[in-house]
Amino acid sequence: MRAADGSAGARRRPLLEVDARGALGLVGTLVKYLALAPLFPAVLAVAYSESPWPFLGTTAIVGAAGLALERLGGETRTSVGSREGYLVVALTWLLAGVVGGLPYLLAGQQHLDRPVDALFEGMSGFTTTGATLLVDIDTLGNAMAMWRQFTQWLGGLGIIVLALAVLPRLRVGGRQILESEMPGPEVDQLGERIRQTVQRIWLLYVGLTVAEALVLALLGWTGVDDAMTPFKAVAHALTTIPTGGFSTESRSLEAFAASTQWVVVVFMVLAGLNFALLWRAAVGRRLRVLARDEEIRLYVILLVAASAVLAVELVGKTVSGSDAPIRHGVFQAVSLMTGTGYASTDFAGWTTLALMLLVLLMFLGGSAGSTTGSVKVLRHLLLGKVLRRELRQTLHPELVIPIRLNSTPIDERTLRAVTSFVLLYIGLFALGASVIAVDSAIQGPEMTPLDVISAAAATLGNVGPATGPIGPMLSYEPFSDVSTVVMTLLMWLGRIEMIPVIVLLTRRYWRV
Amino acid sequence: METRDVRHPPRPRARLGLELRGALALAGTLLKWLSLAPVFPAVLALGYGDPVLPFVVASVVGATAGLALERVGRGAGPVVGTREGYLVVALTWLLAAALGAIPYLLSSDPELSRPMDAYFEAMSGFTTTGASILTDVEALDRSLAMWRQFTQWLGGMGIIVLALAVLPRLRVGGRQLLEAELPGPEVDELGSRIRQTARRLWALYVALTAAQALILALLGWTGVDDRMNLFEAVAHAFTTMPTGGFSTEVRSIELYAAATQWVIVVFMVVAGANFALTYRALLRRQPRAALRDEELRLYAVALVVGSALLILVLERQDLAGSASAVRTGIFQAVSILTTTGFATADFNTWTTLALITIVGLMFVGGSAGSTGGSIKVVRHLMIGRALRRETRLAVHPELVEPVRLNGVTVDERTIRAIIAFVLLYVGTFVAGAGVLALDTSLQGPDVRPIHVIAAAATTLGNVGPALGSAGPEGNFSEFSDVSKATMSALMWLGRLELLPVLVLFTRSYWRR
Repeated sequence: MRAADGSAGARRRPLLEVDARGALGLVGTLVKYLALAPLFPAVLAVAYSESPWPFLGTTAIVGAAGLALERLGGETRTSVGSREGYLVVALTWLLAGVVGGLPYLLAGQQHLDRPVDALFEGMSGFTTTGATLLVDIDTLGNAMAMWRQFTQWLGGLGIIVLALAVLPRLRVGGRQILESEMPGPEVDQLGERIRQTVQRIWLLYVGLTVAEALVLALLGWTGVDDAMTPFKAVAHALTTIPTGGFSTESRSLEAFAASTQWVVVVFMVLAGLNFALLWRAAVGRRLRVLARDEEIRLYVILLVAASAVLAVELVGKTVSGSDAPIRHGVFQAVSLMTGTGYASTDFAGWTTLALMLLVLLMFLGGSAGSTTGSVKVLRHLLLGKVLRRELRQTLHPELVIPIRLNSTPIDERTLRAVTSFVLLYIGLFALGASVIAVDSAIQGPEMTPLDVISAAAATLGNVGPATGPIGPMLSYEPFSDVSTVVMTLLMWLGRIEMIPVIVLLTRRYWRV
Repeated sequence: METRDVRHPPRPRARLGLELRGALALAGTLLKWLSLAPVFPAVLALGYGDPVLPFVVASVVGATAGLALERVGRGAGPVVGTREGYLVVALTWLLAAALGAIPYLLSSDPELSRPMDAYFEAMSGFTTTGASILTDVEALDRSLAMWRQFTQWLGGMGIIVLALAVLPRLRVGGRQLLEAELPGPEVDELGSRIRQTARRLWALYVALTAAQALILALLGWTGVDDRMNLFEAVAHAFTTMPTGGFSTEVRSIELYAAATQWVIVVFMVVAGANFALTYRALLRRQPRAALRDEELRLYAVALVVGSALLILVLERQDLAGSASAVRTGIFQAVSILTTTGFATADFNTWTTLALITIVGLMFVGGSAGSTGGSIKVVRHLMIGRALRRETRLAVHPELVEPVRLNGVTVDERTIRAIIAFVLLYVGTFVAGAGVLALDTSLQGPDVRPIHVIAAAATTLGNVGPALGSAGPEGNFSEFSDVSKATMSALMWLGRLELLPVLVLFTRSYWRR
C-alpha cells in the first residue's frame, strides 16, 4: 500500500501533525477501486436472471464517494506517512464493511435490511470473520450469495497487504519480524519492494483459490460429492483461502461429503501458513523452508494436539459428529484455530472439554503472515520465550539474554510490542465480553457464560461461529443492535490488529 | 536434589551456587515454630472434650520434622540469599499444608480421612483460599473447626511477611514497588528490617482481628444477631483479616444478621487494602496521605463497579429473595474481589452476567500489600499505564516516557516484571483450567465450561468458592484426586505469586 511510501517524507515535516486530508485522499482512491468489486456479482446476477441493481447501485454510490474523498485529499496525497497510515488502515476497513453491506441493504435482504445488520454482515465479510446474521442462507439469490463469499476473498487480498507490508511499517504488535521474510528483490527502494512482494503473494493467493475450486469441482463432476456444483466449489474456495468461513449452505460444510471436507481441511491448513514462506517454498520447491520455521512447527504441533484431543473426546460420546471422530475432530480444530469458521458438524452440542478447547483455539490463530486473525502463533511463540527468559532473569538480573527466532535475535522493542499486543488483546476481549454480557442481560438473548465468551472471542479473533444460540448452524440474529454494533467493532479492531484504531483514540495522535 | 549434592561435594560453590542445605534448614526452623500452632486447638479440645491426640501428634510430627531439617543444614553457612529464598518460600508453604493436614487425617471425620482431601483442605487454609471439600462443616468437632479457621489466620501472617518483605527482595512480579511503602527503620540490614516491618504489621493484623472479633461478639451479646456467639465471632475474625473465607457454617455468612454481614464487609475491605497504608493511616495518623494512594483509589473504583453490576442483576432478576439486593450485591462483590470467599447467597444460581462478573472479579484481587490473592490492583493499574504508553510510542517511537505510580517513576525492569507476571498468571490459569477440563472429562464430575473456569480461577486466585457443585454453598468433594491435586498446586502457585515455584522448575536454578 502506498501508506508506507512516504515514511521518509513524514520525517521531513517539521511538526508531526496528521495529514488528515492526505489520508482521506488515499482512502478515497482505495474505495474507488473497491467500487469495481460489485460488478462481478452484477454480471452473475444477469446470468442467473436476478436483479443486478443492488450491485450496480453500490458501485455507483461507492464510486462517487471514493472520488469525492479523493478530491478532498487534493494534491497532498504524495506525503502520506506512517502516521497517516493508521488512519488509512482503520478507515479503509470501516468503509469496506460499508461497501460490503450496501448490496444487502439495497436489495432489502431479509435479516439484513437494517443498516446495523447490513454493516455487520459486510464487516464480517471484509474482515474474513464469517459470523452471519442470516438465518436461512439457502434462500439467498445466487448473485447475492456469491457477493457474500467474494467480500471475504477481497478482504483476504487486503489482509495480505496489511499483514506483510503495512502493519510491519506501522510497528504494530511486533509485526516488524515479518519484514525480513518478505520475498522480493533486495532493493532498498521501499515502494518498489512492497509492490513486488504484494504482487507475488497475490499470485499465490489466486493460485491457491483456483486450485481449491478446481479440486472441489472435480469432486462434484466425478460424483464423489453429489452436493458439490461448480458454483459451490468457487464459492467455498473464495472463503477458504482468506480463512473466512462464509458458506452458501445453512449447514456449512456438513452439507458436503467427507472427501470434500478433507480437501477443505488441507486448504485451511495451507491458508493458515505464512504466505511469504509458502511462496518461497513453492518457488524454490523446497519444503524444508517451511519445516525449518519455528512458527510453522508450533502451528503444526498445536493443530495436531488440538485435533487429537477433540477426536479422543468425541469417541463414544453421544454428540453430533461422534460417528467420525477423527474427521470431525480435525475439521473443527483446523477451522477454529485458523479462524476460518466452517463446521462439518454442529459442535454447539459438544461436551465441556471440547467446547473449552474450541474457544481456546479461537485465541491461537494461524501464522503471522497469513490471512488468519486472532493473536497468531508467532506471538504465542515469542511470548513463551519472553516469559522463560523472565524466569531466568529473576534469578540472574544481571544477565542479558537475547531472544532468537529462527536463530535471528529479536530486538527488545519488538518483544515489548508483542507482549503489549497480547495484553491489549486480552483486555479488549474482556471489555467486549462484558459489554455483550451486560447487553444480553438487559435485551437478550439468553446465553450461558461460555456463549458470551465465545461470541467476543469469535468476533475479535475473526473466527465466525461461536457456541450456544450463535453456534455454527445458527446465526447472530438474536442479538440486540447494541451487541451487533459491539461485535462489528470487535471484528474491525481484531482484523487490523487493534493498534491502528486505538492510536486514533489517543489525544497525542491528533496533536503535537 | 540430595543426589546432586552428593555428587559434587568438594567443588567450592560459586557466589550464585544454591545453598540447598541452608535453605532446608531455614524451612525446618520455620516448620519447628509452626508446630506450636496446634497447641491452640489442643487447648480448645480439652475444653470442649474433643479428642486432643490429633493436635498433639501434629505438633510432635511437625517439631520432629522441623528439627530434623534444621539438623540437615547445620553445617551450612548462616546466610540464606535471594536464590535460596525461592526454595524456602515454596517449601514452607508445602510443609505448612502438610502440618495442617495431620489433625484432619487423624480426626474422626470421615470426609477428611483421605490424604488428598486433608491436604487440599489444609492447603486451602494456609493459602487463605477458602475452598473446602467438606459437605457439612457444622458436623466437625469445635476444636477441629477452629483449627481450620486458625490455619487461615496463620497463613495470613505468613503472607504479610511474604508480600511486604520477602517477595520484593526476590524480585517477584514487580513487587519492588512496595518496598518504598514499608513502615520500619530505614536500615539496610535486611534481616532486621524485615523483622521490624513484620512485627509492626503483625501487631496491626492482630489488633484488627481482635477488633473484628469483639464487634461480632458484641452483636451477639446485645442480641442483634442471635446466631453469633464468642466462638463464631473469633472463628470468622480469624478468616476475614487474612481474606480467607472458611466459615464454621455450611451456608457461610448467609444466616447471620444483616448487621453482621455489614461488619464483615467493612473488615473485608480493610483486609483487601494495603496494610502498609492502613498502618500509616491508623498509627501514623496520616489518613489523607493514604487516601491519595492511586492503587487504593482504583481498588475502591473496582469495588464500586463490581457491586453495581451485581446489584443491577439482582434488582432486575429479583434474585435476592428476602435479603436486600444492595447488601447481597456489595457483599459478594467485596468478598470475591478481595479473594475472601465468604457468601451470603448461593450466587451459583444467578444469571450469566452475574456469573461473568464474579469470575471476572476473581482476576482482580485486593491491593498489593494485603493478604488478598490473585493479580492485585496495582498490577492492573501498571498494566493499564504501560499499555497507554505503548500506544503513544506507536506514534512517537523516539519518545522516552516514564511510567509513574503516585508521582514516582517506576523503573522499566519492574514494569517488565509486572507484564511478565500477568501473562504468566493468565498462562497458568489456562493450563490449570485445561487440566481440570481434561480430568473432569475423564473422571467426572459433570461440569459446565464456566464451572471449570471458575474452579481454576478461584484456586489460583486464592478466592475460595467456585461455581456448580463447588459453588458457595457446595464443596469440592466431587472432584477426582487428580483435580484436587491440580487445584492444591494452583492455590500454592497463586499464593506465592507464581515465580518462587516456577523458578524452581528451570534448569538454571539448580545449576551453576
